[in-house]
Amino acid sequence: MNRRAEHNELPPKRLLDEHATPDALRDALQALRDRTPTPAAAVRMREQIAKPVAPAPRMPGALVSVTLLALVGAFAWFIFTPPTSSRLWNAWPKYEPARAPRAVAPSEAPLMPMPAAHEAPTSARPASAPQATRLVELPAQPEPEALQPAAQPIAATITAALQDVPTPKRAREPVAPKASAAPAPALDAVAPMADAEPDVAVKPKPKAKATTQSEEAERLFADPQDEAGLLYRARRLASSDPKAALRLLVLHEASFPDGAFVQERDMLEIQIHDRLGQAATAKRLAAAFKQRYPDSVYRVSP
Amino acid sequence: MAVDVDSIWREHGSFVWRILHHLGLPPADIEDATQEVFVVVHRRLSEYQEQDKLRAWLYAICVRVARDHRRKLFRRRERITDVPPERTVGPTQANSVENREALQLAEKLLAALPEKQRAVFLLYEVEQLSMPEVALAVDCPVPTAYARLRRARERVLELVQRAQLRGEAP
Repeated sequence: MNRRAEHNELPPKRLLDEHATPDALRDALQALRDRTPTPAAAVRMREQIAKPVAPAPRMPGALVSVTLLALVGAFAWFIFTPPTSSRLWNAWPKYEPARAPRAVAPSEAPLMPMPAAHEAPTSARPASAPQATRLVELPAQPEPEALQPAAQPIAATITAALQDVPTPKRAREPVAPKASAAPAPALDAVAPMADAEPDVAVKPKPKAKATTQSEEAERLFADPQDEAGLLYRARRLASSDPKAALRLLVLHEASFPDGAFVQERDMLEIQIHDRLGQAATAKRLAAAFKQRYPDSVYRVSP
Repeated sequence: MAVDVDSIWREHGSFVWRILHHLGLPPADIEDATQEVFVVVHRRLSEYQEQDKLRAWLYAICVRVARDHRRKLFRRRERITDVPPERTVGPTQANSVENREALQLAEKLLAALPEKQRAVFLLYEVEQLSMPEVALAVDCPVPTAYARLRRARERVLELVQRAQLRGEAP
């Protein structure tokens, strides 16, 4: 086959018909051409092919489009209707800032006044509170009178420590035996403590608007993990309300007798007594501090 | 002329079987692949319009079926049977020494060709399709099919001459 025949599209002679084709190539091509299935295989294939083939079920195009539209619509309705959308929204992880207590300016104070401890939580809610509670679906809060923290020795110690102004001698007493012997306290006893620090508040979360003062106090003072926070609040109260700061230190001693900030607590207690004008008590405590922590970094003079 | 599957099988059954063989399917799978080709013919016959290009149409179906069959080979597992499956190639054909040698040479020649040239060479020289049919089957312009055939022929003749010089071919 030459290029001229190729461009004129003349069919070239086949190799099997060419005289110049080598015999080996001719035999090879003929062998390829003579390949056939065995008679038995041909019969089997013939039988299989003769079987009627069930037509594949095919949906009309319009039906496919309608079905797709219906599926998309159902999915959109499921996603964007209020029950599902609110569930999805609530399930979405929300940003929560760290729980570092800070002083709240009067302009930043919560809009809703905190109810008194003896009031029922629902009685002080504004008109919008039930709606917010329903949407957020807060777990049911028991009534303050129904709370019986007698089983918590920490709470008993707190109550006992807060009933009167602590003295350094009382603060040094072991706490555990007294806690075990203390009767079940009422949470109302914590209320004066909470009232003593009106200028310190943890930034309330939106869904915590309905919490009562006693619940707030319980959350603040019964948190066994917040040793540093307790000292932080005591330090902040030391200038404005030294007695409340001393109560917090007693609470700290009860909660963390072997805490990581024992020296800081004792130092702060000394400073508070000095600020209150109780110089003798402060000196006695300082001497005890020197004796107890001879290598403390808080020792200014040997 | 009305074409039905039965007449296609009678006239072109061997063609389909050979094409699948040329496309490199294992001999044990050619029977199944042939049936699959005719299942497609069953399904698509009503859409087929160019009655004079039937073999080109069948070749295109064979190529797709062979491609799908090769994919299935990766997932298939061997099954142990008591009775070995029947051979699809006749024993007399395989036992013929001359025929076997000629087939070995043909396989060697075809293996040396690029895929596109091999398809054109087989369809024109072995299956005796016309060049427009070949071009339609391999989906290329007719001059391109001519060029592929010319290069394939040159390569095949060169290989045959080398084999003769080495004494591997008569």
